[in-house]
Amino acid sequence: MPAGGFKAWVDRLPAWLHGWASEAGQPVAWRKHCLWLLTLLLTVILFKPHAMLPNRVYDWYFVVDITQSMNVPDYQAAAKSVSRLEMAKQSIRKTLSALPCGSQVALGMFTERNVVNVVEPVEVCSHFAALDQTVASMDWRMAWAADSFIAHGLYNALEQTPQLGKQMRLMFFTDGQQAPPANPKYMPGYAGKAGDVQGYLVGMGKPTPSKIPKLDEKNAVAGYWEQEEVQRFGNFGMAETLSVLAMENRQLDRNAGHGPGNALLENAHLSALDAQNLQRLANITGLSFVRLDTAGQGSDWATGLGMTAWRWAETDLRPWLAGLACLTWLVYLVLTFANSRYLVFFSKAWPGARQKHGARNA
Amino acid sequence: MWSEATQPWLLASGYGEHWGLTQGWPLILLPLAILPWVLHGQMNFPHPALQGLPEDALSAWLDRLWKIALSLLILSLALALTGPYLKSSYVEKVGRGAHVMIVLDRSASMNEPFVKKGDAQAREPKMKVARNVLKTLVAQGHDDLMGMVTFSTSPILAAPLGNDRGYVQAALDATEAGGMGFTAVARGLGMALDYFADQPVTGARAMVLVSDGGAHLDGKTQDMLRAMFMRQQASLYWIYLRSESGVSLKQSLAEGENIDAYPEYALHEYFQTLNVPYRVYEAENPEAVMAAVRDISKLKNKPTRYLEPVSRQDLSQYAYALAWLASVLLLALYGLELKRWQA
Repeated sequence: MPAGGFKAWVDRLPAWLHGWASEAGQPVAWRKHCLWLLTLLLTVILFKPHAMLPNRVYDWYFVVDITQSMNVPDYQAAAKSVSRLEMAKQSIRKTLSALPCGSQVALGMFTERNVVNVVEPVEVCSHFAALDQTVASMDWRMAWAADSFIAHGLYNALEQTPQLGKQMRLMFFTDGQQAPPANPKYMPGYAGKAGDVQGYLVGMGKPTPSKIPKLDEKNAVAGYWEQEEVQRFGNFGMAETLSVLAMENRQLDRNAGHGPGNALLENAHLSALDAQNLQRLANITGLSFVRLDTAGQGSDWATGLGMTAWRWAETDLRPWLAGLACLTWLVYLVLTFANSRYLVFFSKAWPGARQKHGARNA
Repeated sequence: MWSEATQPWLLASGYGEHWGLTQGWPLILLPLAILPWVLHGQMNFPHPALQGLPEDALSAWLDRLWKIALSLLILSLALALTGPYLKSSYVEKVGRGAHVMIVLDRSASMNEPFVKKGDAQAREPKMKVARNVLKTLVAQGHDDLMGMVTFSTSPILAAPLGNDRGYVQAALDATEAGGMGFTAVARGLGMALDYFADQPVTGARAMVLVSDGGAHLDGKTQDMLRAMFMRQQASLYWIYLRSESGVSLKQSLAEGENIDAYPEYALHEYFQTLNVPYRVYEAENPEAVMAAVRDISKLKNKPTRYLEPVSRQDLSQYAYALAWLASVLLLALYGLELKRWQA
């Protein structure tokens, strides 16, 4: 475009922009107002407004069993064997990214008889990176002792959960493996009331027993636990018979093993999902027993019905403003096309909106 | 039927795996975008012979531009309302300041107070004292990257190295002395040092060991740990929470004393042979530890870039920005409209 042409454009600009002033006081001026409102709304949106509003969030305490039976690779993902522990970790990580902002997450690990709370509840979005990395780093080597008393651990976790937050729910990932075999007479009872703490007891692994791998420093399988290497009976507890009279009657079980039925277990070195025991524990504690088949299931459970905690939280206001902007857009459109035969009903309802400029000025 | 047909296409585009929509319903707003193209009935000026007027190409294009802007506005608003996001992506961050790994002892002995006598305040458990001290450390020096490993028999990564102070505080809140009596100092330090393993050395790296006692390290472990310290070039700060019966590291042992009877002393001797900057702070009382906190906050580092995972990367802001542009365009075009016949 030649320079002179450009000058001519600039000269004509005031005449063009004359359109701004000409509709004052008329219903059609609403077209202009709509545009101003639209731009204003969208400009506000660009600054990402947010406010404290009651919001649907989910508070979870994730506890992972890190005993060695969780190393059993009886999951399949992308044609590769994946260990139960890995699967539990993946499930938690997926859940972390599915939880809405404002949700609180605490992490814990279970081995032996108790649960160690690794981190107190933190907000999931602003601490996502740290939470995600902490879960990723969970490892069976972090176990501070080798036993696996699942009932003790679960009750311990249930005890901790209400202390972490009023609306805290528990998700406990375990295969239910009890090692060494426990004497049922000396198992703890659940002190709380069933249903006090809501949540899920997530069963990991397949119901068919598999060998438990021994991993070396590089997490390569260096062998498997053999039958001779594991304790095959529970040795804790007192004999049934304590009286001298009974012993004189040749009841000699005073020094016998006191495990379940005193019989040696055949498969104490194998591990399978102990669904029966977990279901029993779930019934006692009021948790729901579920089996994890794919890593994505965790997030569905975590954001499921009945797990919601309503709380004042930072809420994004952009969708609300955007909804308003959509409405404004529609009003602008209808005003613009008021003469359209599709919108006859509208121009009848608001005769002023019908544009008569042309007719009048012609 | 419709959803079945789109399923493979959606999966191929990585829906659910790499990206997703927070809500699906705003998609029903998309068809609104054709309205400007099908509706007629704008303001017009009756003219006896339109055929006689020359066609104005500029006006025709302006009209098209106006319709495009209208469509674009509602399209981008509808998309923005669905809340599209990228899943588990990384954002680049720049870190300044030192990289500090806290290595905190959680063994059972940390439950004991510094002194057995005195009032409740004097008999604070060492764990509580350590926690308070570390909280002051974490609250300071906001440029430093921090992480924490706790250990008893085995080390646990409580907080990964990063600039998330709130998280380290939450991890500190969760520490309770528990675990077993065993104090596996070497494994705790090893895990914390491992954390530096994949990163280039860009400045000060500090290990802050907070422990109340020594542990015997055998020769092999000693050599391994020494090699790790050398490789990662990390300096060591030991905040030694001395119990009443514990030995002071400031005085040298009396002649003829067996060093093996004083594991903390043996550990102190060993740390001095690490060939990395090493300092020990004896904390008989809570105030003495502030010196350590001050020293550590002096450490500096070159700015380093690192990747931090984010839960979701919100994409709706781009759509909103597009909608904003469209609305500004509409506003500008409004000024160009003829409101009166200009002969």
